[in-house]
Amino acid sequence: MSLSLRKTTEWMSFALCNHKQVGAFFEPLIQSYLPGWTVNGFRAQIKDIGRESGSVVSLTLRPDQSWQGFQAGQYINLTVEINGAKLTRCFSISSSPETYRMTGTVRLTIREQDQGVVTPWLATGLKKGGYVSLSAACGEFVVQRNGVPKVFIAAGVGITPILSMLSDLVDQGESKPVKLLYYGSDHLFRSELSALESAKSNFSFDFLNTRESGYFDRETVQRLLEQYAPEQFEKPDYYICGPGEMITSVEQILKDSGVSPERIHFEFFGVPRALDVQVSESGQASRAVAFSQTQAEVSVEPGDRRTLLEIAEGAGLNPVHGCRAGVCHQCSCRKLGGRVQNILTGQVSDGGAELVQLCISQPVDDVELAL
Amino acid sequence: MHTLSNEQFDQLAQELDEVKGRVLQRVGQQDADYIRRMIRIQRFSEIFGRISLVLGFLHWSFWIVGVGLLALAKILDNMEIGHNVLHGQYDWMNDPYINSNTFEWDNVCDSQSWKRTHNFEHHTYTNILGKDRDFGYGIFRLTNEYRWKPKNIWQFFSYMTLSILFEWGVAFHELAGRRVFFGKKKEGEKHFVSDQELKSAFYRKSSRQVFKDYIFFPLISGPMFIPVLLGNLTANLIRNLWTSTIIFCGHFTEGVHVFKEEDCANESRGQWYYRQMLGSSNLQGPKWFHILTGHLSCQIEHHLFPDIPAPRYIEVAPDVQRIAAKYGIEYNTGSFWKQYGTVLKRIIRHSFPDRGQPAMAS
Ligand code: FES
Repeated sequence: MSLSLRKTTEWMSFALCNHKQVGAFFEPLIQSYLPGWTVNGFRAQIKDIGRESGSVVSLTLRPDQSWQGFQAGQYINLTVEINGAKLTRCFSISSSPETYRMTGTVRLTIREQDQGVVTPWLATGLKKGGYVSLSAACGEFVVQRNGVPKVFIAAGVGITPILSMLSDLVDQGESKPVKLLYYGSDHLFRSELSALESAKSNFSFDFLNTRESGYFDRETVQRLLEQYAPEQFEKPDYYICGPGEMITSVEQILKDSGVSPERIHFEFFGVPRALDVQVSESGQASRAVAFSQTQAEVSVEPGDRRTLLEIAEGAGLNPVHGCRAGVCHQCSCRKLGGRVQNILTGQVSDGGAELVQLCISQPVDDVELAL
Repeated sequence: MHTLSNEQFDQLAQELDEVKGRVLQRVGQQDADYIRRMIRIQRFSEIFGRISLVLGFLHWSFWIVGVGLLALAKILDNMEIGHNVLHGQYDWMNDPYINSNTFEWDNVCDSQSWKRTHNFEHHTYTNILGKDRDFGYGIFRLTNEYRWKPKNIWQFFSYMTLSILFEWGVAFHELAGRRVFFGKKKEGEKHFVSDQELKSAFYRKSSRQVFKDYIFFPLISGPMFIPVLLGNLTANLIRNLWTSTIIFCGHFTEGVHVFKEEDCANESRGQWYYRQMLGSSNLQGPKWFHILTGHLSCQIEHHLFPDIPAPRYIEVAPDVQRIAAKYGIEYNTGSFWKQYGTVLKRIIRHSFPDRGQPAMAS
């Protein structure tokens, strides 16, 4: 659609029903008859809810027809309604693309967080046959099809995207060696992994009990790496998924053992860590954050490392948000002026007007937001 | 104004905060379901209202039903849905549409402009003469704190005109206050939104509304052009009269108090609550009546707690009334006709100069 045509339809739609899309006006009506229908994003029906272990649940979903599938290793944003509020979190897909092609379903595997609002609710709050909203698949953590051997290192529930990748490799008839090193205190998907192993002779895995072998000490890792990728092999690619500190340490060990950085792929699991970058930039002077629509203004003291979302909430505002982790973009808000720092990338914006994600931005100097 | 001691004001604040805390704990699924149901009813009435208007060529009664449904849709959209959503009462739902930052209503007033003048100015400075321009809208003399001027003689007619054109009055409110089109600008005022942005928001929103009701829908009705146009006009008129009347009943009834700026300097939370209670008045009626007023029939509760979901006002009203009685604060309530009668009386009484010398507000 050309830009001007799109502008015209948008104008018309807004004029006629005060929504940018006519469909959004009808959505509340249509959804009461067709709960699987939506204008924005996608809907999915819950096919199954199961427990993998004491604190890990799996949800099997069937996304609507328009959902465009995924690559092994990707995740989705799942939106559920808990006591009237829509909450969004991202979860990795643990099933394979092949399963999706065959059955139209995807499986999410989720660890219930102790203090969480969403994860502990899922198993009891969701009902089979009910509907949830989800995003298109996203994430760059996918297997490169480059014909070299692969070593996967997973910890805990970080196995989810990796299981999907492994199943995919097996489905695709990967002929190079594929190894999995799985850290954890309880290991998920034992039977699925064994089934993969017996299906493919070039796939093997090793469970490491963190209680016995400790947590990623250099020697164990190095020994295992040698055993897994001996000299006679071509140099393998490494895929790592688990908690932040695990990734950092494994990455360091690999680099120290001479693995080149482009061979190392990883994904942080859970809430991304705020990089402790350029404290000199943000957080040294006091700054003012102004909210233009509510005409409120707060001053942020030196050393205060709250994000704009937290600052706004502290000022009694309630901006739309989802994941609070920089993923869903629901918290995107127009910044009218002032510089902000992205706490994930460390990047400092310029002072012009632009959309910023409140949940991962900190004010660098005085900032004005359209809130 | 201060009839209570400072300790009493603090206790008052504490008791009202507790009432609010208790009700907030209950806010959840029920409220989300409620507002969605209202939105569905609004959609139904708008869609069938517009269809029925066109069917007027079969029989005139379709036209009448169409006007009724469309007016109902507009009233629900503006009052129970729009007003309350824009107050942020449902922001906690995290819904992309039921949200005070994104909601736009079926009204010529740009919703964000309304949020600035209403949510901020009126709700913060309720009934403070000179600060809350909603008190008389700069048009009416509703208290003898203001000096009588000859133009007040025909203020009853200005009132009727305003009611008829109410949505335009609301749309123009911020522009008028800022003297964007007429009058002398005040020096040194600082605003978040420039005059230019205000003007373009005003034109943008009002032209859309005009396009919808007076061009697009009449045009696609072909031979029913005129009846549909008149039907839309009537529905807008009914909505205007209704909203204006309800709003006047909330703040301009006989017993409603006004305040001077100096009385409210450095007011405590308790004093703020006290002013909100005295500055508003309630209307009694059946459930459907409360819904059509957007629960502004509980204006007192709304002013105390502007951001709790409106249907909850009915629930907290008995507590608020009990607390008011305990501290000897007037709780101004009555039937619609009784309250409305006093509004008309107030408008008419102040059209004439007071006996003796009028006091002048500073
Ligand atoms: S809340 Fe999801 S990106 Fe900020």
